Amino acid sequence: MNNAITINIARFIILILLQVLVLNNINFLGYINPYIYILFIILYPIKNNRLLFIFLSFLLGLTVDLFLDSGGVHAAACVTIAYIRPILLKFSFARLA
Amino acid sequence: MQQIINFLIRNKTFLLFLLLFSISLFLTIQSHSYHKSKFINSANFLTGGIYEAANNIGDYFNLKTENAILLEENNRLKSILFNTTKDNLKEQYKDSSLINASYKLTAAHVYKNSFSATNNYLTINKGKRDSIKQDYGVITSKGIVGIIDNTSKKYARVMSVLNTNIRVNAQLKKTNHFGTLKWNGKSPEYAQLVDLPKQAPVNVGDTIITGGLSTIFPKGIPIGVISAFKIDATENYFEIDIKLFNDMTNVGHVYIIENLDTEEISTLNNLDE
Repeated sequence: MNNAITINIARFIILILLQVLVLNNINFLGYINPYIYILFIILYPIKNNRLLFIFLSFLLGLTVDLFLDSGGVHAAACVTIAYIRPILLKFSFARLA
Repeated sequence: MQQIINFLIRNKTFLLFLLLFSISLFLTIQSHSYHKSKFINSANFLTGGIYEAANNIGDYFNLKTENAILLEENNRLKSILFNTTKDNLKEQYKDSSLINASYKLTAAHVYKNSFSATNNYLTINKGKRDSIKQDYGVITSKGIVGIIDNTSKKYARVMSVLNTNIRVNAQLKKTNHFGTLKWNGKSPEYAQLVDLPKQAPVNVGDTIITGGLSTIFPKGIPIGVISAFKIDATENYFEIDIKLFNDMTNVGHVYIIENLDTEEISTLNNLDE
């Protein structure tokens, strides 16, 4: 349990740093950047407090917004992904979820 | 009452989602209007600090080009200095105090620059501590960069000319016809000049400079050259594409311009209101 928390905190920080310092400077064809930080939401443990999960996703998006001066676009997208993730998982892997 | 509480508990996930979603939507909409994005911007100690650390490493790779730019600027300034006659010089510097100066310049370092979004911002390493405030102009040796739009203690955020919200008073170099500099969000190499009257003698290759009408930039800072022009829909004004002198994708060192007369000019302008 404790281990999972540490791993997720580390993942949060590393993914944001990777996103902000490396991936946002790629500008493929002038403006295309890969957004890898979403991996945090995808890899987050399934059986966990949903409220906390949505809030953490909001925080993740907001931090990226802070760095990119994009207002709240990333935060809105992250919250939506976090909210529909269990629905999508149930839809595709009904037995496991 | 019981039912309301039950409803809240039952739908707590959805309600939290709705709350956070509306907060982020609010922040997004707020960021589209000038001067309103107070909370979420890259001029704070966390983002500023991280960009600073990254910049301390990345800086070394740009030393060569930065040196070339500085050398070029020095060269230009020296040639102005040596070609000015001694008498002229004496007149300019007869008083060592800066009582007559109306612009104060501060050198700053760019920590973060973006040019691929529709609203681009730069983060620089001077802030309130260096008495930098909102609405100061930012330039390089080649031309304009943008306007300060938010400051924190150590950092400031600059609204780049590559921002669809920016409006700068600009004019032709050879006459006093003026218009407004904007950006249409398409190419980081070109900005647009609109509302320039049809009477103005416009040619491809003409130089555009800042006009003296705004209190942000002094008159005569280079912006770019005309690359294409056409008459707009009302048939009274030109729409001009300007190729910027500044390569906005490569900005290292900038100067912040403070107009010391802003307050006086704005009180004068507000007299009849």
